[in-house]
Amino acid sequence: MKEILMVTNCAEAKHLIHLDVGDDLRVEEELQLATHMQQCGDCRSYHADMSRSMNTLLTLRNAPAFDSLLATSVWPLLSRELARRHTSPRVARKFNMQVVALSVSALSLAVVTMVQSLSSMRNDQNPTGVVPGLTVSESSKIQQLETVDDNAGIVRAPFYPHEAIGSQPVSF
Amino acid sequence: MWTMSESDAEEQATDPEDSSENGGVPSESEVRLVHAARNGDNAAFGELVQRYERRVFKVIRRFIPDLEMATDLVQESFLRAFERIDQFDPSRRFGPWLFRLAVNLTYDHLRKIRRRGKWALFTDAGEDRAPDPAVVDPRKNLDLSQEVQVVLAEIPEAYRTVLILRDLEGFCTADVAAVTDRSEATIRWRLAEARKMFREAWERRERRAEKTRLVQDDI
Ligand SMILES: [Zn+2]
Repeated sequence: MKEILMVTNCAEAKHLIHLDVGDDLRVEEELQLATHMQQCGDCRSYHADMSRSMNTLLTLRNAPAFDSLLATSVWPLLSRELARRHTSPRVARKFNMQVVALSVSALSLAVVTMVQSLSSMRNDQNPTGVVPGLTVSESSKIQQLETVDDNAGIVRAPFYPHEAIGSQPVSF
Repeated sequence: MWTMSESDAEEQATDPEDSSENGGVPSESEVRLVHAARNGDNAAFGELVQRYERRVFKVIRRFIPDLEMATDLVQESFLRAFERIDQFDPSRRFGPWLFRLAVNLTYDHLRKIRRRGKWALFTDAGEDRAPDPAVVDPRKNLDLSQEVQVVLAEIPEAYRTVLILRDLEGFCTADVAAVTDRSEATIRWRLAEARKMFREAWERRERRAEKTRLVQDDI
């Protein structure tokens, strides 16, 4: 009872109106809406508009275009189809590992090719080995400093002497 | 300001009496038929088909105007029902479960059509063109129900479905909830929104029609 007496605002009333035009309100909601509409002209006129729009929509309910019945029952055709499915043996489905293996190989090949082309691109960018901004002799000194640790097989990072003595960084 | 959302509506559906779970009790004969069909009795399934096919056809036709395609989808729906009858809970009503299969198949079909249209090499170029006032607008010859159908098509699918099932096909909100697999509170919220959307779309169409009339009067 307390809920029914609660004052409904216009937004809430409009929501109830949308349901009321299709008879979808519960008893307590009907009372709530009626109480609000007694005091609110805007909502009364909104209700009238919504009722008109609902009547327009309902013209589709019995429109001849949708009244055409199913020409014949689908059951005769359906029962034949079911019988056919019942008699034809089911082919057992097996997970095809070959497809997965092939896909993985193709993917690995693609990754390897990508990595190789990336490294060759890096080499192509600087085929002379001359470090930009340095003279040929300075570059050859750097190349001498790039060593390979044969025991560990690790390529050491190039060491640029001018960085060590705090000179300006080479701008690329 | 009062702002209820669909998620609020979903939260309100905690009461089992208010949820889609309460879609009614199946009739005795239906329980018997479903039980027999689940045990491989094709004749019992046939009886279920004959009970529901016209209704299923009518619902599908609301979405698919093409008669032949709608008939194919009816068949497809029953085939799917037959294949999945083991998954059906016999304590529920068969109707909402069947309509859910039919509506989902119809959605799938509509999506396929849309996708095909999106990726087609050539599309209808006429749609975006401004109307030529010298050419008679074919929409002028539409009767009221056809115009309503055009406006209805403007409403988003989830809302349109609720409007079709509740207002045009007369399903109760509990059944709409069962068919669409949503709570009854959500369906009530969508129903209110859908009716509002229809009103706004109808008014927009009336305004456009009025404008066209004025332009033609000037010519
Ligand atoms: Zn008000």
